[in-house]
Amino acid sequence: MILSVKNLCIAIDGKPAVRDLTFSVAAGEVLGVVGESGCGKSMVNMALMGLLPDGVSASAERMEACGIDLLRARSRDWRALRGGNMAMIFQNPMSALNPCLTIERQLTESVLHTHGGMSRASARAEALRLLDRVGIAHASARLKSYPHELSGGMAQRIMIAMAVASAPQLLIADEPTTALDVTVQAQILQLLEEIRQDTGMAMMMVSHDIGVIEQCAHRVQVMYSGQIVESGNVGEVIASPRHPYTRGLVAAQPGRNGQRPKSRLTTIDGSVIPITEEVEGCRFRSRCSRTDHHCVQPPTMQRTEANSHRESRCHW
Amino acid sequence: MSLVSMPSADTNEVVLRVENLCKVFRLPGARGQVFNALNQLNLAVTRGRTLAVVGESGSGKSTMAQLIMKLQRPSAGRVSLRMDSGMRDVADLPARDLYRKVQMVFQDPYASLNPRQRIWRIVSAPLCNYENLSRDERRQRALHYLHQVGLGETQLHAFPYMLSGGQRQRVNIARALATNPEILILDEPLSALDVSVQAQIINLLQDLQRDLGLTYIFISHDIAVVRHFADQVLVMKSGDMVEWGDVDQVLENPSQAYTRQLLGSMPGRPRDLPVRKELINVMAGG
Amino acid sequence: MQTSITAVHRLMPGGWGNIGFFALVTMVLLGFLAPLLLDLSPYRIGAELLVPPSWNPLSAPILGTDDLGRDMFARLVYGARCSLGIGFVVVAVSLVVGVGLGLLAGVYGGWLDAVIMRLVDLLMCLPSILLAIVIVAVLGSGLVNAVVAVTIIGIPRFVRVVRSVAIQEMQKTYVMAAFASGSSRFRVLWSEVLPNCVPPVIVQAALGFSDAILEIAALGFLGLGAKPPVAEWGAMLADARPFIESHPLLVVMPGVCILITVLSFNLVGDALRDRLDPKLARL
Repeated sequence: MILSVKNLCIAIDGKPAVRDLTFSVAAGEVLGVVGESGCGKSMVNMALMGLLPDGVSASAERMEACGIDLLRARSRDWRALRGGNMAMIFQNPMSALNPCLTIERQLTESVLHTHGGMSRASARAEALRLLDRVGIAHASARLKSYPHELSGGMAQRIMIAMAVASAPQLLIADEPTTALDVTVQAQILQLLEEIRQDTGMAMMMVSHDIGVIEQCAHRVQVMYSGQIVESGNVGEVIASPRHPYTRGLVAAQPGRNGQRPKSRLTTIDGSVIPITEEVEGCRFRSRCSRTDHHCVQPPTMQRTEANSHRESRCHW
Repeated sequence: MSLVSMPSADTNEVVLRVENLCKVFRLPGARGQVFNALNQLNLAVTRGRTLAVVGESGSGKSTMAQLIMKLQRPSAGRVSLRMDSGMRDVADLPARDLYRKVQMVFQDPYASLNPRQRIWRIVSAPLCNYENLSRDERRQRALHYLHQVGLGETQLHAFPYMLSGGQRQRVNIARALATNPEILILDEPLSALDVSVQAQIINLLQDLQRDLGLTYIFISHDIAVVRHFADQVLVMKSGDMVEWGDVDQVLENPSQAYTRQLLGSMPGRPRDLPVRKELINVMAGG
Repeated sequence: MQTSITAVHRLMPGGWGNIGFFALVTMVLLGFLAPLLLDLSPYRIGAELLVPPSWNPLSAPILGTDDLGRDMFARLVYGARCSLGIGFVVVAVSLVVGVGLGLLAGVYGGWLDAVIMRLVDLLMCLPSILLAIVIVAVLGSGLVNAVVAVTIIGIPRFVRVVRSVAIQEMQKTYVMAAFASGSSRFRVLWSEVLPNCVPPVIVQAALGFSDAILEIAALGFLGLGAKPPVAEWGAMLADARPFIESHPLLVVMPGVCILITVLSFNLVGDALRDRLDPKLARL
């Protein structure tokens, strides 16, 4: 396992927000994380990268990445891990690049971080190779550009180049294509898939878009209000969702399940419970169309079929 | 069969026509260099129908909306609107008359509401340009429009930051309805919303269209939504019209390569991947 | 009771600003209530000159007398009244004029913006005290003319802040939405842009207060502002100058008053800036 997390809890100002997250990612595997805004998926990424802001604290029974115990990691270990075995790309590549520095400066920085003793010239050569790898044409001319001279797709390619500079074993992609046009999104997803196949790195792909997850992930876990509510093989979960929330999410997408044009779409009534709010029993209960006396008890993740890896946090 | 019933008598009445519309921006700095934001756009919008405008950023779809709304001046061409007296050039229409007929819902439900105003004030603001209303009357009218979009008294005195994204977008729609317009320009009204909320807003827009006989110009980048929601679709790329026609025709049998690329880029099941990969490579090369 | 507590709490700027806030409240109470409650006569010339302070609230003169035998405590209290009153007038007038001009420049733009901003640049490129001296020289010296001069100097800060906020506001989608529902430019100015200018203007007003008090004091010190026998801190400083070695407290006391007031306004202004600006971003 590249990443193994057991009972991760994250609290904001002492109030529980993310509750008992247990999941793992195997080498070369893509784990998709789906959830709407405010479900805590970004906070999980931050916790994995050791970048939680002040006032937000994480605790877990186990949190291991690339053989390193993240619970005991000191700041030196974190730095080695972040620029080495683990890398992250963000939703908005433009704000993740420093507007005042050339691409060359920023890219060679990441290269030198990985290969400490490298000369400037060979770092530059490595940067060129990386740009070529992420499909940027006229790489040597591009090195001299500043971020504002790039399109959004190009900037995201450069972020990917910086992320893979250290040949990470795990790439965390936080909504990497949300700010991009569909055609560019398709190219970026394609690129990530190619790099994954070449290097065998594992990926954790976070998105609100089921289509994106469906296309690039092997397994998916659905998050709702700080919990995982369903997990399993992508195709199976989307084709026959078990948890009412997943079911609602899939059905709310136009064009799924052979909906007739102009028909009414299925919606999930109500709105997401604030992540720090305490709820008795199931956190989805107030929006669920099928509730009974079992729902007053806090539900646990249960196998849905005897011999499969699918789990759902619902007794139905 | 829950298809929207079409008004039978004037099904094909054109309410808005765009002819040879162009918008050229002079680039700052570089002398004489220009940027064609919109190039020779021709279009007719039928009453009670939804025209979807699809394209990527920089395709000119928002420019088109702003030209129709007279928020920018066209470089050439004209937009005409059906008034009681027949088709009239928008350029000659007083702003008051134009905005009674056409209203706009903006993309970002966060940025399009003034953070320092209460909801009743936001929703009733358009009315104050047409009538003299007391505070009580304004609140009454605001409540009426809030009811139409599924909100109520609880939201009347709230500030925008107290509302969720979906509720804010409903407030945006309520404000647009406040002048009883016939045409609504929806500029990416769903792209900032979560999927489940998106579905609620689509349902709301469909209900409003059926109940009020509204005509929609729906700007979007999401083909799945367009396929579900629109009657006609206009595909645009870097200021040019690529394709215009009925939704089933354009999206099922696209005649232009760019439309096919756009369709191929929709994220989804990997079984379509070989085809998609080919299309993506075509695009990356071009 | 609960609501009045929260109302006070909302008024308080927080952190170091609270200290400034309390100092100012004390200053205002002293300046405006003490003359009503106590028998103070700042202008009565006494027989005993240059009496050292008794530091005892029960035996007058608490803070001693000046070179003409006038009660220093009474003069300082009246000075507080004078400084705060002048500060208020200066800030109020320059705020109204400055916000108006800033809104016109930011919302209407074009030549109006160019004209207003060049005038503001002109005002700002001269050292403010020098400009005040020029204005006073033209209008003639005296407290009223000094106030006029300081008011004019106070205008640019409001114009610049309001204009920059207005220009940002004009780019906002809700302003476009207002135009798209038929609002006139003036309506946009009044109901969309103006309310969003309030927080930065409050901050500028607090800082403007302290500048105004300093400048009035400086003009008084130079003999261009308040004329004797008016009890004004700057003029008091100037009057006490000959005694700076023999009776340093005569200089120190009005000086400390100016310091405390100006420092308090700056503390409040900074705290308000910290409190109001992130809120603006969050909303």
